[in-house]
Amino acid sequence: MAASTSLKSNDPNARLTEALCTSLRRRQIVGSLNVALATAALIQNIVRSARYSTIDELLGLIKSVGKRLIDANPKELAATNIVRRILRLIREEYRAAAAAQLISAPPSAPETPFLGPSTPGLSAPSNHYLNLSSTSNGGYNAPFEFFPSGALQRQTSLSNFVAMRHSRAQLERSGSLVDIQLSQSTNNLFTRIPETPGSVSNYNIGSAGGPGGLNRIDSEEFMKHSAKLKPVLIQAIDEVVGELETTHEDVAKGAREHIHSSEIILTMGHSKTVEAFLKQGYRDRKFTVVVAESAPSYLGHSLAQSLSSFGIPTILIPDSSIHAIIPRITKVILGAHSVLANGGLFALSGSLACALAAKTHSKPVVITTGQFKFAPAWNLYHDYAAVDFQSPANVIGLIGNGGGGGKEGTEVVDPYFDYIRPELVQLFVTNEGDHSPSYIYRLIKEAYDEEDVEL
Amino acid sequence: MAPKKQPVKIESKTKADNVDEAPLQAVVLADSYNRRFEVLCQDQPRVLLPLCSTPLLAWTLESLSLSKVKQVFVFCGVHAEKIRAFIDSSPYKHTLDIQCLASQTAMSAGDALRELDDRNVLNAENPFILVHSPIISNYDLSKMVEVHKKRREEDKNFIMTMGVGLGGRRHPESPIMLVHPPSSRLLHYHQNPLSPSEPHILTHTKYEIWESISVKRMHFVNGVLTSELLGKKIAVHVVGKDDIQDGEEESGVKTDKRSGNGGTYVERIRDTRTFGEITRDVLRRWAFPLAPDNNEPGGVQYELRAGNVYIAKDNVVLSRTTTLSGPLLIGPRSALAHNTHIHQSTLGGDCNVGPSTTITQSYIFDDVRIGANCTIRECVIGEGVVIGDDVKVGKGALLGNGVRLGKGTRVPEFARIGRERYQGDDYDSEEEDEEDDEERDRRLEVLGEDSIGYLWPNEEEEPPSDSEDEGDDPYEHPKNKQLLQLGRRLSNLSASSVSLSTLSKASSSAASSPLSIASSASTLPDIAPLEIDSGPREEFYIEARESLARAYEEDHKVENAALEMRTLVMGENAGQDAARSEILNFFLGKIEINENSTSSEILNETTRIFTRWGGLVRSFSTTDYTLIAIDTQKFVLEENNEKYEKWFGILLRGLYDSDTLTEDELIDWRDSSISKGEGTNNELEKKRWKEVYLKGKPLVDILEQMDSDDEEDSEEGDEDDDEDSD
Repeated sequence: MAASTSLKSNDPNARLTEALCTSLRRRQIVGSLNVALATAALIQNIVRSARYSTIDELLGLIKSVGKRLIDANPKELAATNIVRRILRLIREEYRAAAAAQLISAPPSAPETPFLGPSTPGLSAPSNHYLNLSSTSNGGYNAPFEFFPSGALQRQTSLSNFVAMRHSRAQLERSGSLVDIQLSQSTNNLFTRIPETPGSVSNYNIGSAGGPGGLNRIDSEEFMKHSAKLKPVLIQAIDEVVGELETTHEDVAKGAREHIHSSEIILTMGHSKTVEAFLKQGYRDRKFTVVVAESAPSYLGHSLAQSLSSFGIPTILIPDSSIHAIIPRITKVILGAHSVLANGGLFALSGSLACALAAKTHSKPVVITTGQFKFAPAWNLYHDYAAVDFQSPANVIGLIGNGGGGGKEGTEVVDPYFDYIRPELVQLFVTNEGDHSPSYIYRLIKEAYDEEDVEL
Repeated sequence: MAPKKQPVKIESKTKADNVDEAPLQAVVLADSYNRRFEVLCQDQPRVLLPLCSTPLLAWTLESLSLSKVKQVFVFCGVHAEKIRAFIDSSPYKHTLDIQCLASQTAMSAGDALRELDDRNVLNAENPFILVHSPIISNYDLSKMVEVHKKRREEDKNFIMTMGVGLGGRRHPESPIMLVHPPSSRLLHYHQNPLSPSEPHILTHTKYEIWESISVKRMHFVNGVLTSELLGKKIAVHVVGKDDIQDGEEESGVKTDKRSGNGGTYVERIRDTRTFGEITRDVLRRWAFPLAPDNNEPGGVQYELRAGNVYIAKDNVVLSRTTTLSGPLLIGPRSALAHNTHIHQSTLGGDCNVGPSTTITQSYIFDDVRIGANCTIRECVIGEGVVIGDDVKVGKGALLGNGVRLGKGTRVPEFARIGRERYQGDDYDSEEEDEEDDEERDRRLEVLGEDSIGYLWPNEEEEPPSDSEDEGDDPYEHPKNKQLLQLGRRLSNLSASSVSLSTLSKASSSAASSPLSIASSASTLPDIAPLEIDSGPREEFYIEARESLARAYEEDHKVENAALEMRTLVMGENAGQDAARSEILNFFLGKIEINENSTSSEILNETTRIFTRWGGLVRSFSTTDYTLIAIDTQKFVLEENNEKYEKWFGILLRGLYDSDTLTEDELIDWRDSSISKGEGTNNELEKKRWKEVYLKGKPLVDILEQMDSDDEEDSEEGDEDDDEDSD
């Protein structure tokens, strides 16, 4: 199977991968955005320089890299999110190219996809890299690929994907297959059935011939077109990077709709997104920000500094006062580390205290985040270690009594993240519109291909 | 990920701006050159002992690669082939350039470094990191290297920077260091066994006194740089201090504050005591991100549960009635039967623990079988050990690999049991060394019939090794060594309240002769008073005189004589002041003076001797040459030297004529207060100093007045003057 392909140890890309893995493991790269950018750069390098003869191989390669990244630091979900995004993009681009091939190629080739539905028995498990809904409906897919605007296929923002999915769904609806598939695939996404050949063959029952046909084009034609395809893929990844880089601004665009004049807003930590959001909002509205200092990292200090130098009236409070001050607060705005499919999220520790206090006093909690932090994962079993315990040094200090010296008998627990349940959050403000927690799963489903959920 | 082009070299891992720099090198000494772990290390090197089921070497390599080290030299003594095999199979092979250097001949860290130097593997241009026992650290040592480079740019004489951590536990091996804070220069290093472990960073304002200090013996400097060390400086870097400054710079860069703070855990595994403490620190996540659940270097996956309990994800069997109280770690495929209690311990892989057994603060390696109803407290149990039912292992015990304990055995506290018999330093493998009856009786009495293993003598009973290097190492003193063991308490040791006033040349407390203490000595020894610079030992003066006499009689070159003296100074920690006055005294003593010698005879003699040997004197006064004049003055004032006293002016003149002293230095001497007798203790002495001073002063006065162009006049004037002063 394609996913088994891995980089040779002497490949420069293997070294780059190893470097990223180790710096992830050693926490030399932290923060979702940094991780996402580093991942995108790595994948771009691989696409540019790795040797692959079929699209399968490339996808397998990227998947294996993604697997290593998630092993290196399972708490940085952004890395795998980006890998999934790019996997999907590559498929889109490839499909577009294949479709273009269909038009220009000899008549025998275009017919192959249409054989699909008529030969359900021919299952081809090796092709489950292909998107189920598009391949299984080769017949409906083809018209879609002939969409007049070629640009649409190349556009990579999440909203476009949503749009594409909608239009595709409409096309599918005429085929009436969609309901079964949707239920199947949602099932797959949210119960995380491991991608065993069995479950794959489920999909392929109705549609197996399609991928087979597409694959046939691969092996023969892909080599000819890979040279042409490469710049397209690289360009697509560039757009992902561009989108990541403008996440803060995109999120902040909606600030004036969410902040009213003379509000008192509570925040904590130092989320770059929140910072940009508040600064953008302050251009139109006058409000006050209360920042909790967020011990033991004290990131709140730097946020307060930054906001007040921008001219925003800022009050810095210790974390212990959060509950006391919440009656005066009109809104809680928090950043996120990663957002899970159920609408829950991981955020800097202390966020849970804010969210619970807000819940008690019925204040709205707004999370500002880029959509690249949306991960097709669940906090299954409420894994104890998921909140990333840090060194006790942050809490009791190394100097003087460090190394457990003065506090030998005391156990220190210092989680970096809090898990915030979906019911504590009212709204997610993202770079692609505002969504309620219950809708997150839908966005995630639309953003990534189902077979990539388990890398 | 800046480099878009095909990366050619290893540097692809680093950021683009580092590309033209030489890779950072590190040297790991795999051998400890002491015997603290010996019972556990009979068939494997110390660096491969598992800490939290991961060899110490892996932790060390992980710590080093965290510090952006690219090339590692592992210097192996015994068991080199095992270290090689480990490295070949470790994942670090891909990320680091690791080379094993094996040597059977190196008997100390100094030997090892000398040998390393001979092999020319290190890049002479760049500093390297020396790791002389396994470290666990989340501190980026490359920062220290940067600071060191900066220091060197300012002052070429900084040859080395020592890393020092503030805080931490008290440890019997903590030195006292005097540091000059603005320059971070180490002024004095004093081994301070049995004292509080915080390095005393003294902001001593009178640091000028120590301008010409010499550094006491340090494990790794000794012997390597002997001939160059004089006048060189050693800096001390307090780990973690620089983070505060760096923080401001870094805030501009895209690093979170998170990566910067808290990252200052550095510990060395030096003995069984630190082994236990560091294990618990790692489990408590002090070394984060080096924590068992964060992809431990060993590659085993652990699940973290509440209370710092780490359970391997691979088939661990826990009984429902097992009590776990953390921090603890249980290795893969281990099985704990019902009613077991595990408290703050680590269990390796494939261990089996029988029902109703209690394990407290113990470190158990791989593949150990422990029977039912055992009590195991504060001990280290080697690989493959089998322990029967109802066994009690006392605290501090070390069980070597492959030992088997029969049912009902009671292992005494601090016992060491090895698979092989104990082999002392004088052990001769040729000799058929059979166990004698007495020993066998003791063994059977303690271990019983069913056990396999030999009782080793307690650590403090071991005869002190007679190798020269360790002979006077205060850390190897039995009393101190005892405290290095696992299970010993330091809590009732109190620090002696010694003030800095002892910095004067106080009476040296009698260099405690190594007393052998009885094994039953459970009382803790008292603490030696802080003793700093008590002056060189008597041996130094004897040796120095001998070496000078040799040089004088055999007419050595000045450079060679200087080299010999320096070696001696280093070896005896004498300091160059002592050396200079010794040299000066020797050569002044060579000037023949009797009743009827005339001033011109003495002058000629002085000039002759110091023309030949003045360079030697000068080479031992790097800072202040006026000290030569003052030492001369001191010399003539000493007992038995009355005959020189009246010729002091001539002696100075001779020193001047032979270029041992220059005009400016003589003027400085004249103007300094010490020469007039300031700083002496009583009036009488002051008067004598003054008298001698007046004998020398006219010479200097005339020198000052004199113009350099008329040589003739000055000489005449001089002679007149001398006669006048008579």
